[in-house]
Amino acid sequence: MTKDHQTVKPAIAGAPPQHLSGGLHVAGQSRFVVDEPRPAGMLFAKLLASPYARARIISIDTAKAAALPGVAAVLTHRDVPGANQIGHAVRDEPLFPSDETAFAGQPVALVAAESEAIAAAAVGMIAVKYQELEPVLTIAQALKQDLLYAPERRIERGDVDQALAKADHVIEGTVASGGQEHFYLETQACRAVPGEDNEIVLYSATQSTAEVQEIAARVLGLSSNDITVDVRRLGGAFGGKERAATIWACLAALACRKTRRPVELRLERIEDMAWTGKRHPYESTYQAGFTRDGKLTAYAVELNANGGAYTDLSMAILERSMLHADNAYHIPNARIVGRACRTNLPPNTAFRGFGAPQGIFVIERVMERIARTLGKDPLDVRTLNAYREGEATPYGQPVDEACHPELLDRLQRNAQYDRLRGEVAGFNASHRTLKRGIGVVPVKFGISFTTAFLNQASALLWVYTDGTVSLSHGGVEMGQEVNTKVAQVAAAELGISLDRIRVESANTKRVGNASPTAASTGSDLNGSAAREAAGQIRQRLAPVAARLLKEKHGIKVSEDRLAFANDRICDPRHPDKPIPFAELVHEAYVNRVDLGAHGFYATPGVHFDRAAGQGRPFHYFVFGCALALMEVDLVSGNSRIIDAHIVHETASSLNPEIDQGQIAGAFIQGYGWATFEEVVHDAKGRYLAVTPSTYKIPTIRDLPETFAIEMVERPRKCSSVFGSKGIGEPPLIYGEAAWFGIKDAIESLADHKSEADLAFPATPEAVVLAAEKLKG
Amino acid sequence: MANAMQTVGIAFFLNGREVAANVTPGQTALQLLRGQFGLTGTKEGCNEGDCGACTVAIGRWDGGGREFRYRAHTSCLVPAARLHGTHVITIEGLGIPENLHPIQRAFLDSHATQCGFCTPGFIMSLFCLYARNPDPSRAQIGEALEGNLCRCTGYESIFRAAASIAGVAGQILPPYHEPVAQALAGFDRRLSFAEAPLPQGAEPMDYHRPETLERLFDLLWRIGDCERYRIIAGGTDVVVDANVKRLRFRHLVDIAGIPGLSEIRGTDRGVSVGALATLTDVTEHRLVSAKLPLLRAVVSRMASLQVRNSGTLAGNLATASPIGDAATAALALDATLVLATKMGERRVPAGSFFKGYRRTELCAHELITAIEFPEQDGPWDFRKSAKRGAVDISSVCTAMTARLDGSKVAAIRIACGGAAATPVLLAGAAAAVLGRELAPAAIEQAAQAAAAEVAPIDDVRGSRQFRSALVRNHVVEHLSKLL
Repeated sequence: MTKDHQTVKPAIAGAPPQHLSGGLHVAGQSRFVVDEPRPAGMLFAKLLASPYARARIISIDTAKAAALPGVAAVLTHRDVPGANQIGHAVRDEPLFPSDETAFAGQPVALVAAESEAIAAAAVGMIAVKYQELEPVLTIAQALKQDLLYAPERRIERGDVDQALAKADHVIEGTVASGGQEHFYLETQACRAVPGEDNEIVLYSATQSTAEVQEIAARVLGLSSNDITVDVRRLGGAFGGKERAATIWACLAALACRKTRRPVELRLERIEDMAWTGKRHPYESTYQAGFTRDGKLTAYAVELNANGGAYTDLSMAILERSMLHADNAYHIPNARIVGRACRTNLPPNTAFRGFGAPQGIFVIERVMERIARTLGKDPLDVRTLNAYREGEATPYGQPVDEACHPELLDRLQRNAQYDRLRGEVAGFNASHRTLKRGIGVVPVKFGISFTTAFLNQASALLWVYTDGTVSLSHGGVEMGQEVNTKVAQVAAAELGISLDRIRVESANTKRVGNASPTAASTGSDLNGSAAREAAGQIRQRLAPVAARLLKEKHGIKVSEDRLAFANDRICDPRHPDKPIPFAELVHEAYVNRVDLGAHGFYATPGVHFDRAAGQGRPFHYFVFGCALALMEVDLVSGNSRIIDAHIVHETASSLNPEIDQGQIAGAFIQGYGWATFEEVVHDAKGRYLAVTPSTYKIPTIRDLPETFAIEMVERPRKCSSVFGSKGIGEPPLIYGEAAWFGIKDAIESLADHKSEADLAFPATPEAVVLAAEKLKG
Repeated sequence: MANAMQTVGIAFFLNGREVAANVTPGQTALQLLRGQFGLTGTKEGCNEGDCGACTVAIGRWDGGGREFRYRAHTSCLVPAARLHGTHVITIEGLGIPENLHPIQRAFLDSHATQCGFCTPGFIMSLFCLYARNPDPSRAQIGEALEGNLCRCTGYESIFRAAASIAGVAGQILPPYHEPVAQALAGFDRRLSFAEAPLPQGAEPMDYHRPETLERLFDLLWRIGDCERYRIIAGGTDVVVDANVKRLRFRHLVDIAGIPGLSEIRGTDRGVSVGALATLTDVTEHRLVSAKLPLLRAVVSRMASLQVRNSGTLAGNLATASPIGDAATAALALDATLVLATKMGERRVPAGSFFKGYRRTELCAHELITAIEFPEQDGPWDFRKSAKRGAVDISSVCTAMTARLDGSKVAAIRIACGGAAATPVLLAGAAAAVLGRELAPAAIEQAAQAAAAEVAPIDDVRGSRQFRSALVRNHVVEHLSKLL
């Protein structure tokens, strides 16, 4: 274990700190991109989007739009000075299409004008001639035409075919899961402001400062050091601003470069929902063999993702699906195949969970079917198959500190599972149109970017002579409170109070080459980098402190025994004779000690061989499980969640209040995905639910009556900064428990003898149709 | 003047201070607050009243000047001109980080803010709740906040924050409330109209606020073509059309200044609801609770509180959505619409009002002035099926009123929205049980008849097959209530 893995909790006194920006948020003073005062002469950009999912562009006539008074520029693919290419991992995505559109909603032209109204009017004057082509929209169509983003990927262990042949029971099936709209409250936005020379500052609502910088420079034919990306905070992102923010930033940058004026590009809600990619829908097939006791012996699964129009992050997302196809279960013989399909939907992209929820959903279906086949309780089957300490995943990584049997046991106790089962049976016997059911889902989630080199981060820390601190790091604050956690780490390392620290905006000039704030790694990576930076300062301050203690108080103490705490530095044997932090800093300054530090962190030991499908892609795993008690109204098909119980191992949480907020928020988001959030498109590939009046996310009325979250806090060897663990994504998967609860409720109609054919998400329509089918 | 546009001079109080502004006819309160006044704490999340991020409190004297009420409104749906003579409180008017309002403090202490974008809207909704009700129930908190979307917290911390605001009854209204309320008691300034150069690319639009029905009809006569104007009662439909569908109207005719239209009053037979009565007025009125429980049940589940505070019952009927919940109630309750033109009034039964997809009996220059409901006198039932339980447009909504003679059905009306181009009465289903003893077989027959007589629409809120199933299920449940 390296130093970073030590499980010492930071010495932060009192209750967990509040949200670092909380006071500003509740007072309405926190600023998002479009809240900043407008720079003089700013233009507003609006986009013309392709009405067709796939069409040949025959001509684009911008003359009339350009002639409208108040229009500063009308831009198309012809106006891109650098490369018309915004792909990142794979370079397959143009800023503007030049010959063929690839999805409905793809920007074809941009207008920059003195007002949004003028820009919108001018967009209406652009004449584009298209020749409509037949789009590919579904996974089935893409597979038939062999439209894959890369050859299929494989992870294999053991001899699956032989194990299937030998198994007591074999089941097979197909499983589909739906897309999901991010519905961050702040829509996509960027302001581009020109500087002197070739400089442009992009105030972009992005999770990926370095990517926006790199690609904007490429598109404009400039260098990375011409472009500055600055992000103070995002109004939610959930993955939807990781890759998918780049295009809007590049468009704003292009308009700025062409007009040499500040430009604001902000999507309206309806544009954002109609044009941007979503969570990947999956269609998968499986074969599973198991013993008469219910132990899974063989699992062959093919995971097929609908990637949309460009590669985007689809290959990485598919990879995470494959690496989570086992979820919490040891599978001696496994064959995991993954395919990412090219279709003409907006490029599907990162969304909290990043493919893991889809991969996990398939094996959870298998667990339920094993239980039904054998007449066992699904919870028992899950516990039976759960990883034990030391067992390895199909890709060869040992599951250290595996604890699902224990966590599931805690869940059973917390929810009083046996009593609850009895109550549900009683309820169902006495109700005609209301039925209840229970769903349980355990989650094992690997933390790290599976692209190993992304697991690095930097921080820049300045201590000023008054004892206050400016802290920059590569993470983007988007409500997950990475800033609060990173500040806590630096404060603990320096022994100062949080209010001495100002966390600055994420800015490529202060922290370059930052990995996206994603994969639940924000606090691990940036917190570790900040700790490293703060440690350097501490080391430089220590000799000064030792000298001061001697001079002022006559105390002789070696540098490595000094205690930094409560804004003071002292010899722990003489806590009554400290040096105030501000005094120490000032003394260091006049003695020409460097008070600035750049910290760097790279996660040790992570690697993954894609060709072999083997390696140690994850720094550690997060473990937890959830139970949902659902009630279904068979008249309307509406379901409601009555109780939610969650047991989640947080290790040594940096801030339990933040972690609880992440768990609750992710659970409800996953619940929405599993129930009534439905992404639908028409036969021409146009999204139909593109406003919140048609696409419904959960409201406060969806809060369960009992929402019991147990955070299991304990020291774990496999963890990150100060013994903490990442938190953002794993709890989203708990939402699948709601789907299983609904299915369980419907199956009470046939006394749990046969399986309900319930679609995912379990919309009211899906519920009514499944119930009717089951009743025959 | 060809290149001129109209501006409307308004005066109102904003966070305790009197302010004046020249607004344009199509401008929303949200645009005014964020733009001219730089109050960016009020956020734009959807621009159609569905997310609540732009929620502000609008205070005015209510109920004929008896009480000064602050109500939550989604400012994206409020025409800026409508702020005239009100007191608008935004998040900036409650507290600052160094001196937080108790509701803001509760949010901070409960960790009820994550990204922060939705937070001001939630706090303003709660402000309006607590300003009137210092000890709300869990359900009342839910009602106050169901129109505010949050994508980060899962609402758990927000609910805790909302429920923790106790013992602060005297500290909810800001200190400037009282003097502003007094100042507005005698507020009778007129709107002033002026002209300004038409911005490039903009189309001219005029805002009118006639103060009598006569002047309204004169105005409509002068405008002529019905395509050239839209009437604004609550504005929740017209402003969405402007914001999201980008429809432009040459004339916006605001009828809010016409006296008498907002009244809910008792009549010989029941209750009359004026054209300007908001959906909230309907749910809160004691006559509606006492005599029209079905109407109250239906309206309570329409939209969010913010939208009910703006939207009107008459507007929901006039827009003639195939799934308009109010229309379903009006049909089941055998309501009569009072329609007026320059020539006078006529009364049209709800059953004859809806003519086709978004088409009604309303003629050129005609206005709904009131809806008359006969008092309910028998069993009733209402069911709304929507994708999401709270704040959602119905997939299918049905309402039943009946009268029993012993165990026989003496009279019955079953209305249904979402199952045809207009809300309809299910005559076949009614006929199947009328005059009969109710028994499971008869109910089943009625349900079959209902499914057979509707031709449901097929859209994002539900397939034809699903809607047919819902109609059948609803009818079974309604009739089972009579057993």
